[in-house]
Amino acid sequence: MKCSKCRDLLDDYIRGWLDISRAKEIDNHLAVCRECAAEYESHKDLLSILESEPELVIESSELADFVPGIWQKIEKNRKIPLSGWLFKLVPSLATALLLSFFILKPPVDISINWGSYQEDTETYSDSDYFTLLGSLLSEKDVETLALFENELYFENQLYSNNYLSYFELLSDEELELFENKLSKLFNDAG
Amino acid sequence: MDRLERFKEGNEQAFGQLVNQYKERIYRVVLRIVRNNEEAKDLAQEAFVKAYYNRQSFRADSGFYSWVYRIAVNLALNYVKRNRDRQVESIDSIAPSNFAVSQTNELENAELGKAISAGVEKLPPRQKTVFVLRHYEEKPYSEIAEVLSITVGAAKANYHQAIQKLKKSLSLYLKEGRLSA
Repeated sequence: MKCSKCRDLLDDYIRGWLDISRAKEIDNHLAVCRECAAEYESHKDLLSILESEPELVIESSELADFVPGIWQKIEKNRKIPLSGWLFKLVPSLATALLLSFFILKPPVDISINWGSYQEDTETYSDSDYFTLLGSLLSEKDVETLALFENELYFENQLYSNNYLSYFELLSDEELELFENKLSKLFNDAG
Repeated sequence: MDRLERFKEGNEQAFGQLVNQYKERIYRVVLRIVRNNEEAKDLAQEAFVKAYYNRQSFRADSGFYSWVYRIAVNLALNYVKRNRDRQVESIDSIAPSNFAVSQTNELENAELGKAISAGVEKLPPRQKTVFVLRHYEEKPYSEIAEVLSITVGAAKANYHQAIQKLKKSLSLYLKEGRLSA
């Protein structure tokens, strides 16, 4: 018998849960293997200590209200009104709503379809555009951007010193995204 | 119609009889794991409540006791996981009156019982649960694995780790510790 097998069966062996032939195999191995014999001694000593633990006694009075308690719990669940169930569902509904927002919302693409925006086509309505921006920025930021965009639109000016401070509010990632999009717009516009 | 059939059909009397038959055994294993009388009672009751609500999915061949036992042990394990920090601080949560102590060895046994309780309490939740099922409930690894939905290998590994940790925490009481002390 290998040491690993002996160690695997040691607890069963000490507890007397092995059949005679298996127990005999362990006997033989322990007689020749000093490490397993040491492990056997310490394991047996621990189980002996654990066996001397006082017995856990449960008085019948301790469970006197056990069954009534179960019926109370069952009744309590039965009596939850519809509003209670709805209240219980709030976390699940909120999670579902949040997940659906992330799953169903279009990828954050803040590109400005300049031509279609100017022509006020259905490709990008104001609300669509600001909804997309809103998913990325705060309400105040979106308002600032709206002014920025108006300036771009009416004065055909891509960067204005007035808005440089605004870009400090954006993260590096957001700023890079904006710059890429605006560069693309600039190049497209010739 | 037998009692289990009646239970499945929602017969409250049949359910009450089943609860009365198994409440102590279920409460005992939960108490061993959570080591707090009130919480143990609450969780054991919860296990029966769950069984009642899910009676339609109960399969008679698995046995009512095994079914509730599995529910109860997993409720207890989850409770211990959730309250681990709080539990480590309160190792004496089982009422002392729950331990049968002989007059002659009262002090020695009380001290040892406390040390064992503290050692078991310090075990990580899964190791503690596996240890309780193996040592106190005398369950084979295969059954422990089934109750906790883990592999037999994982059950053995958890038990082995629990034993090694208990050897350390109870070293003063072991032969080596007694000899060196």
